[in-house]
Amino acid sequence: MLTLSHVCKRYPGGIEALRDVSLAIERGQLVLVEGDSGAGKSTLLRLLGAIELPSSGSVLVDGQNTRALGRRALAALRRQFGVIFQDQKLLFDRSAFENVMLPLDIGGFERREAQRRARAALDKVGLLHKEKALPVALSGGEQQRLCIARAIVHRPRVIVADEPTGNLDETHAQRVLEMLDSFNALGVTMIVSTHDRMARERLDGRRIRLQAGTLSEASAAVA
Amino acid sequence: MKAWLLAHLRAFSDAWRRLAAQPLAAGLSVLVIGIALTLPLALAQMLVQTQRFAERFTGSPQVSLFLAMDVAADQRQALETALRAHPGAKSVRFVGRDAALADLAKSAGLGDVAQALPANPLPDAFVVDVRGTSAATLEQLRRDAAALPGVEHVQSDHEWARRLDALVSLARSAVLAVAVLLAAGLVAITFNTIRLQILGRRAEIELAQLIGATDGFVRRPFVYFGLLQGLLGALVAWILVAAIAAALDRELAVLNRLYGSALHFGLPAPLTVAGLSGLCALLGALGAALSVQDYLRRGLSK
Ligand SMILES: Nc1ncnc2c1ncn2[C@@H]1O[C@H](COP(=O)(O)OP(=O)(O)OP(=O)(O)O)[C@@H](O)[C@H]1O
Ligand SMILES: [Mg+2]
Repeated sequence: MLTLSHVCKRYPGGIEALRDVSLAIERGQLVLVEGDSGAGKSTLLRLLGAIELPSSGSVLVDGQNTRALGRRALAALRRQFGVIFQDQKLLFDRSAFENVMLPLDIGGFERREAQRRARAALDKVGLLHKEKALPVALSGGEQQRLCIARAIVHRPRVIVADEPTGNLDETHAQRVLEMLDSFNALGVTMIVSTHDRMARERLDGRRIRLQAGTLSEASAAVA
Repeated sequence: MKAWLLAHLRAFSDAWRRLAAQPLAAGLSVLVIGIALTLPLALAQMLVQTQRFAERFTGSPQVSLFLAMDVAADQRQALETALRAHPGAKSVRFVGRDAALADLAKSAGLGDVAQALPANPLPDAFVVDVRGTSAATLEQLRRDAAALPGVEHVQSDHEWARRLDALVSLARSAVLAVAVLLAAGLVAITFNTIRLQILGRRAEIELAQLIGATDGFVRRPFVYFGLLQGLLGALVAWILVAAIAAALDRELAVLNRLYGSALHFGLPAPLTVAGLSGLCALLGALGAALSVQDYLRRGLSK
């Protein structure tokens, strides 16, 4: 359902973050993207989530070429994804509850239904008792869980998680990974980037490796 | 359709909440807009009232036709018929030479002089009230009347009418110019207010776009904010106009008593108030929409 063919991504300044990357991801797959810092993991995930567009080559989502879409269609496509950003992007002037409400507002959910779903998502990540708290009043692990709640609240078909265990201690990282695993078990396609050894060990799935913008399958080597 | 309505309702309540959340900042913008709008609205209102008053107080302009001394009765009759048929004439009154002399004697205290005259030097005359106050109508009537047989001299207060006409149209253009300038000002003020708001909510807007917000989703709350701000600004302006009118009317009451006149300002008709308020709201929305569009066009993250 997600297909990259001969994708290159160049950023202004001449940096080539991805070089001739081809990749096909099936529905329901769990894909781990490994690689050193600067290898292009976040770039790859942003292209998959239709957040950025390739400089050349094509990214197809259910057969739709992201580069050929108009603004409205691109927005509609983005709404099908749940994204956990590496830099979190929590809104610090909004309560935990309001942060989780945002994707539902954008999706045009009816108010009551939206509130019900937002509470369910917060409950799922164990933050319901902090729904009124501002993100600054949450611990690092709680903030990360809030990001997860926001990514799953509109029941996306695909979750794109960029370093979801980034700066968490082992116990919290473990919880987050279990959560992601459980969504995958429900059939959600899951793409997770990480350079965290534990994450690699705990999550069972397909592994791909980026090295200076070039992709290779790592499954055989590690498994 | 229901989703569409829902989205708009939400954007509206979002805008309202944001307005209420910063009463001082929003209140100041509204006040600035209100004061800016007061000037053209008050001027326009005064212009309309003064014009109406001038028409009523000075009556319609008149044209006097003095006939030749040898005009016979049937020719006079034909003249009157022609005058009554003229589209610029509102009413036609005949003043016979005897009546004119009697009038003169009475009004000017010249009774003795009139008595002393060997013969009545005054001609027969028609006094025509002109329809409307337009100088063009008056001039046309004057020219047509002068061409009629038996009319020796035509006198009209067309200079006066022309001057009033010029003054009114000058004032009207001035009010229009001020109104256009301030309408542009209202758009500009809103543009800037919204630009600042967008900057303040940049993180939120960017995130929303990353997770699939359409341009419409981003635009709507700001447009409603601009709309509300324009509308509230107009309300402030009407309150100020009403206050100014009340103060002027108090002064005018004295003049009105002294001169038996009935000049007063007050507020325009409710429909006019509503229409102009709506226009201000639309201008606010326009400024906001332009501001968001400007941001979206430049902030395109492709
Ligand atoms: N918006 C951007 N503008 C310019 N260069 C960028 C941009 N985003 C990423 N890059 C560059 O592209 C390369 C890949 O970056 P990317 O963020 O994808 O790496 P990463 O694998 O996610 O690294 P990390 O593990 O540190 O998060 C880097 O050299 C980075 O400097
Ligand atoms: Mg990264």
